[in-house]
Amino acid sequence: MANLSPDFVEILRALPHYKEIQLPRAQARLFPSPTLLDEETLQEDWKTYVHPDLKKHFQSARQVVEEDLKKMETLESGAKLSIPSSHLDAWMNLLNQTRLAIVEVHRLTEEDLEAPFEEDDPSSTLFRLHFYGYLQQALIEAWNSQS
Amino acid sequence: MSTLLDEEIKDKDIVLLDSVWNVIVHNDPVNLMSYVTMVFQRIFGYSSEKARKHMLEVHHAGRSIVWSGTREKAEMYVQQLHQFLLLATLESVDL
Repeated sequence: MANLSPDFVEILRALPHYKEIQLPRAQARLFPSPTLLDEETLQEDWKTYVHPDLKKHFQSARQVVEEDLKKMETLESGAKLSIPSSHLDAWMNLLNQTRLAIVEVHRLTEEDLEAPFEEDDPSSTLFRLHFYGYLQQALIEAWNSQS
Repeated sequence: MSTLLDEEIKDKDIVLLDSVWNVIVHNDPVNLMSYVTMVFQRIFGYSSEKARKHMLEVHHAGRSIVWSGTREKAEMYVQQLHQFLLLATLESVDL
C-alpha cells in the first residue's frame, strides 16, 4: 500500500492497540462456545484446552501486524506499507478481531453497518470499521490470487 | 431368540451410528462473505463453488452444516473455524 495519507497511517497504526478487543463483550465473541446446548463438560474442556491456543493465535497475529507497521516507510508522496504474503493471515485475523470487537462493544446492528457513514471523518468508529473491512477484502483478494 | 454375539453386534452398531457429529457455522453481520468462502475452502478443501454454496446458506438461512463425521474431527474443525473468527458449533446427530 502506497501514498498513504497521515489519516490512514493513523488508522493503520491504531490497529494493534484497540482496547475494545479486551472488553468482556468482545472477548465473549472472540472466544465463543463450541455448542449451543447446555453441555457443561464440552464448554469447560473448550475453555481449558482450546481458549489458551486461540489466545496465543490472536496475540501472534497482533505482534506480526505491529512489526509490519513499524516498518512503514514515510515518503514524500505518502507512507508506504508492505505486507509480505506470509503475513496475510495475521493481518486478516487482526482486522477481523478488531472489526468484531468494535461491533460488539459499540453494539452495532446490521442496520448500523449498512447505513451511510461520514466519509470525511476518519476518526469515526464507522469509518474505521469500513476501512478495516475494505483492507481485509483487499487482502482476501491478494490471498485468492496467490492460491 | 438372540445370541450374545447378536447383542454385541447390535451394541456396536448403536455406538457407530451414535458417533456422527455436525459442524455448524452460524451467521454474523461482520464476517465478509468473501472471507467466509475463503475459510471454507482452506479448512475443508472445498471447491470455490461448494464453499460459496455453504456461505450463502449461512447468509440466508442463518446457519449451515458444513461437515459431518467423528466427534474428534468435528472438534478440530470447530477450533480451526474459531481461529478464523467464525461462529461455529458442533452437535451430535440424532439418529
